[in-house]
Amino acid sequence: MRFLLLIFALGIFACEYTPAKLPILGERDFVNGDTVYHTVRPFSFIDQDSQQVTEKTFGGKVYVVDFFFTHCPTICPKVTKQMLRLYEKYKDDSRVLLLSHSIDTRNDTVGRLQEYARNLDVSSKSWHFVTGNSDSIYSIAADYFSFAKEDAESPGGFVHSGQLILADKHRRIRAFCDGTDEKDVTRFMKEIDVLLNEKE
Amino acid sequence: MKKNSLIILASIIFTIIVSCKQETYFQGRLLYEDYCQNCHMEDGTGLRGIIPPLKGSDFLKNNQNALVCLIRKGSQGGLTINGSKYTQPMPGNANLTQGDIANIINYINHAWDNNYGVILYDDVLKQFETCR
Repeated sequence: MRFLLLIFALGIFACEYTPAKLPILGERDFVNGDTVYHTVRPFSFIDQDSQQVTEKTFGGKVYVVDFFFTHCPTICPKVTKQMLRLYEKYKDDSRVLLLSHSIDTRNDTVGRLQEYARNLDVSSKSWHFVTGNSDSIYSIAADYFSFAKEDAESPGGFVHSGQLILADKHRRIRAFCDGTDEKDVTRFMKEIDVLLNEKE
Repeated sequence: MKKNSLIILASIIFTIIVSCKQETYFQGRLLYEDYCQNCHMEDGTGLRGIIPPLKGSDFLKNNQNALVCLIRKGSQGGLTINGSKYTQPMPGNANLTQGDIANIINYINHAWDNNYGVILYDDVLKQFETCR
C-alpha cells in the first residue's frame, strides 16, 4: 500500500515537473572552441509613447515577445489577453519586459498603439507595443522562430503565429507557448520563473 | 446483495440524469465559438478596455432590439458598456443567416449567468429587415 502511494506521488510530481534550467533553443555554432548560440539580431522600433526601442532597451532583461495587430479579427485578442496575465504578474518586476510587435505597420501608427495601450490600461514601462519598418518586423519574427507576413487571403490581411516567445538577457530564445491557450501560458509562466532564477 | 443492487441502481439513475441534461443553446454555442469567441472570449469577458464583455453586460441587456443589426453589420465603435467606452470597431458578419443570429443571441443571453430572455425568430426577421 505504501509503495502504491509512493508511485502515485511520483506520478503527480512527474506531471508538474519543471526543469531547473531552460534549454537554449536554435542552431548553434562552434567558433574557436566556444559555442555561439542563436541570438536575435539588434533592432530598432518605435513604441506607443514614441520612444525608440532597441535591443539595448532589453539589455539585461528577460522578455516575452508576440506579434499582433490592433484590428486583428482572429487570434490576437486571445493572445493579448494572455499577455495581460503576464503583465499583471510581472509589471512591478523590473527584470521582465513585454514586447508586442505590430505586423500591420501601415495602420498601426504610434497614435493607434498608444490608444490601444491606454485602453488596456498598461504602461510602456513594462510593455512596449512597437511599430516600424514592416520588413524589419517580419525578419525579426523569424529570429524569434515566429512567423508573420502580409497575406490578402487571410482574415484581416495578415498571417502570423499566436506564439509567445521567451528571450533571455542575451537575446537567446529559451521557451515558447501557445498564446491562445491559457493552460499552456500557465506552464510558460513557470518557465519564466525558472529563467529568472537561473544562475549563469 | 441488496446493498450491491442499490448501488447499481443509483449509478444508473445518476448516469441517466447526467446524460439527459441537454444543453439548451448548443447550436448557438457552436456559432459563438466560430464567430464571436476570438474576441469576446470563451467566458464572455472580452478584452480589458478593447473588446467589451458580454457576460453581465448592461448594453446586451438593454439593447435587445439592436443586436441583430449589430451582429450582422458590426459597429464603428464608441459604445459605452458597463460605464466604459469602447472605441475599437466590431466587424460585421455578412454570412450569418437570420437563424444563426437568433441562435447566437439566445446563447449569449443565457450563457455565463446572463438571463436576458429569449429572442424569437420572427423578431430576428423584423430586426433584420430594418438594418440594410
